Amino acid sequence: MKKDKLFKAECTVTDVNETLGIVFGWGMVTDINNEPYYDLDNQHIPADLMVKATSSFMESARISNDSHTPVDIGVVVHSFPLSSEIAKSMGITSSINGWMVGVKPEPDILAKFASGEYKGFSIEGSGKLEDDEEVSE
Amino acid sequence: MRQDGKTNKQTATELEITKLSTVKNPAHAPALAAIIKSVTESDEEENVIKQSFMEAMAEITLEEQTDLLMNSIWDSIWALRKSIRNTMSDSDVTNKKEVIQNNISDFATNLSSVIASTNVIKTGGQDMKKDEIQAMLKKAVDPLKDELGIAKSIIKMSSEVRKHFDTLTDEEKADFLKKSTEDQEAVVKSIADAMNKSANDETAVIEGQTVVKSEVGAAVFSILKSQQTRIDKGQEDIVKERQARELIEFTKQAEGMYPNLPGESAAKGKVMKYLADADTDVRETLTGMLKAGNEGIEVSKAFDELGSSTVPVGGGTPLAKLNKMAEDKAAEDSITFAKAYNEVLETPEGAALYEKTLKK
Repeated sequence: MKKDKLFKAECTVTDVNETLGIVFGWGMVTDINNEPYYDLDNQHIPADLMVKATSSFMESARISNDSHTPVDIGVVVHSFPLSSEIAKSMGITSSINGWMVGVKPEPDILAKFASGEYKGFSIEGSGKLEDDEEVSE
Repeated sequence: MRQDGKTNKQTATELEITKLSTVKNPAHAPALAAIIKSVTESDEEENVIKQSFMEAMAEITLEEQTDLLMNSIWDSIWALRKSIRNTMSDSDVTNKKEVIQNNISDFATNLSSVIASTNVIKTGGQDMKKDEIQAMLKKAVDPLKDELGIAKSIIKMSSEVRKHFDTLTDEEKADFLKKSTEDQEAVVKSIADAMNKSANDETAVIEGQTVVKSEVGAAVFSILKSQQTRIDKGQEDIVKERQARELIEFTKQAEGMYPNLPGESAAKGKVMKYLADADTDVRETLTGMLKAGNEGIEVSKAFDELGSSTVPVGGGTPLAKLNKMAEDKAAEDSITFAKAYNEVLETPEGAALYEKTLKK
């Protein structure tokens, strides 16, 4: 069954570079150990859809906000859609595939990442989901 | 946490990302979203899984409350913006200042009541306290307040100040707005005074220099202007005197050169003056014609006197000799015929020949 949904997907950060003022992490995960990644809600974003959606995002918005409020606090300065195909072509071996990002937030938000108060990223947007049974049909 | 309460596997078929948000706890944050996707540490994941359905529902309810709160706030802001725009563009509203102040007052009252009704809400899976919400709102509303402050300042301006303000660049406008109302009016007044002074002032060109009455004083300006008038009059008299003297000279030349041509001597002098100022080719052509005419009339007179055609044409007469001397002089000294003629007349031989021409 197709559903129009507001999306919000969240991932933890992997590194906070205070010198550059950039927080690195996964904006989205598509698969782990070559298996499709289903999140806590048993929902999965395929790699090809991830590449398409993140490319469009980087061509247009590239904006980061604070805690899903209307307050914009930074920009996405690095973005790489690491699908298994792209990883292979690039000679990269990774157990996790997905959307790698580097976000440059305002100093107060960066400080919250550095202190551990903030731990991750969360995407906002819209889309459609299909039950896997329908997808497989 | 899924809104449909189901746990079956689903796969996204369409996705458009609009924002990447930074969050405190990426493990769980329903907010507006019906779908939450996380990569979490195992213990965090376990904690999330252990959450009860009721907790999830409570979070969703809180998120919905948050949405309602934010929507009502933004609705208020946009309503205020719309009302201000309408007021400023409506020419029928004469008391714009009061109307806008009332709008802002209503907005502030409404916003205060909305915030006062909220103690703690959750958004993005994290608690936001009242002071955090207020800080967030302040950050969002401050730019709008600045715009409103500018709009209020502009509306308060008098028509003269507003007219001056509209001529400024953006940077100048920003500086101008920093001034108090009194200072703004003082600036405009000083400019107006300067313009009035300039419009009522008097200037005169004295020996090539523009002299401004307000700068040198009325008395000095009057003296300088009178002096200049006298100088101008003197120069004019000099020119007139020189022209009169030239006319006498030209008349004298005409009498000597073209005594046989009809017409008053003074008129002939003016013709000579015209020839002196004319282009070389025009002067030479007309001079030749006048000379031929003059000599033709002289020959005719000779026939009348002698009744014979054996008299040599021109060459033996005093006038012919004078012309010949003048032509030779002009050629020798590379000067005009008229000038050469004058110089020849100054010589004893020329003067004698001239006397003879008058005795005819």
